[in-house]
Amino acid sequence: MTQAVKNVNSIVLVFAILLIGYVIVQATFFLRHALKFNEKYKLFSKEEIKDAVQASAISSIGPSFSIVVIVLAMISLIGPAVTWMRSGVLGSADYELWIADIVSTQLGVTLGGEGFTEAAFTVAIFGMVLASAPFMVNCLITLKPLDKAMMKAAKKKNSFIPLLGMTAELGMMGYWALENGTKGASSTAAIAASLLTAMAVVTWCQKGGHTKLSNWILAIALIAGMIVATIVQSIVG
Amino acid sequence: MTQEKNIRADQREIEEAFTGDYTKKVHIVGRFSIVIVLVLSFLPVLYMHFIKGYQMPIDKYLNVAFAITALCIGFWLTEPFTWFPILGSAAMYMGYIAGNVKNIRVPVARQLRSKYGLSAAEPKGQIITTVGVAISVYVNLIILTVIVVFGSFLVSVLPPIVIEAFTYVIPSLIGALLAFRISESGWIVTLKWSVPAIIIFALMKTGTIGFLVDFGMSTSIGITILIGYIIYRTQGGKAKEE
Repeated sequence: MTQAVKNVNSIVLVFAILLIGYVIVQATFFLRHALKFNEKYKLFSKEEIKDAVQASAISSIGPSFSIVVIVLAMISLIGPAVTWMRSGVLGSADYELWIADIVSTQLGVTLGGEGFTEAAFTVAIFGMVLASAPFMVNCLITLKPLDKAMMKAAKKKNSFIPLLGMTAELGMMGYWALENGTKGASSTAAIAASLLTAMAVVTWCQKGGHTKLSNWILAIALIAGMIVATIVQSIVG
Repeated sequence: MTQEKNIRADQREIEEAFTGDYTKKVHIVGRFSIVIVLVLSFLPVLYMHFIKGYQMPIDKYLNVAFAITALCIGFWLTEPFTWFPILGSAAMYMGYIAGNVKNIRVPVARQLRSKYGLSAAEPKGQIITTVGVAISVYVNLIILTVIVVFGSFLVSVLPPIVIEAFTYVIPSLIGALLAFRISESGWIVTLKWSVPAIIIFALMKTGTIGFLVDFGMSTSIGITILIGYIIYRTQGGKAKEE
């Protein structure tokens, strides 16, 4: 890590703490708001909420590790504080690294290299924020009208909304599966293994009423997919 | 009969409260949060440029802004629309502030709704999605912080095969999410509604609509929804998840 990267990281740390602190505050507000509504209208019992919290926590662990490799690469190039801030707020690690690289190419310097001065790094952070900000501006403008439209449509007797959710999901899942599955035999094996494992565990939970185990479906499927993919990779090379 | 009427009245009361005060507050706080986070995000740039004097000519900033706009404008315009039907407003505000929408927020929301057999369109589905996504924000930030602080150490102690296995988290995640959909709708419905994505992917790969290659997923989602809507209209609003 160059001196310039270290200097910028020591400055950014305070802003990173502020930003990540705000992300936690916002999540806490929405969580409390949802829980208060639930308490008033008794949609879920306390046990169900506890169970949902546990299931969400477990389900978040596996996907969170998908960024390990890219976060470590980012740290070596742009330092820990900037990586923490950019991966924890408004962005995802791979997107941020891609943008940082585009900025340094535009400036004619190597990301994290000798020519990557404090000033160049400031422009890189500007680029990373700029690349994510319009997503939020889009949400700021469109979410409320979208919500109104969805509520209006949902009130109809034969609403399109349930079909909308399913078509959006399968449009995404189908394409994402093909995009990843065609990368190689090991990726295809990962998809197939986790699909079959998740199906088997879902069926077992439904038939046997194993509600506690149902919180672990995603985690079990991820581990199965990763193990099978690694075995396939070691066989096919 | 009376009991059934009471349940329906309760249901109506819940829906009115949800679409009224609850949702109104979600948008007020969500929009306010976006403004705060936008200001806080640009603050380090302003501080370093104006206070610390880490300055580059304005044309460098403009070049970067033009390059990023040219590359990202399609994502900016389309991506939030694609996740809205799956997540709903509160989870969208959290997701777009904390990031990792596709990789973390969507899977958590799907697993929870699959567990309770709920859709994103109903208040119950929205409440449980909000709880799940909020928890995922905490967990993800804890793990991210651990990786940032101890990442190099972890890599040095973990066997290389474990590190390599992390590269398969995303394909494994896709398989599990497909399994949730299949367990809800069955193999036939899942395959039937995956056909548009298969065709669009093939057209992208063969270069027939290669100009859309950067927006493959958004195109796939948009076209699948459009086909769903056409079928819904032609069947006089009777088409359901089948």
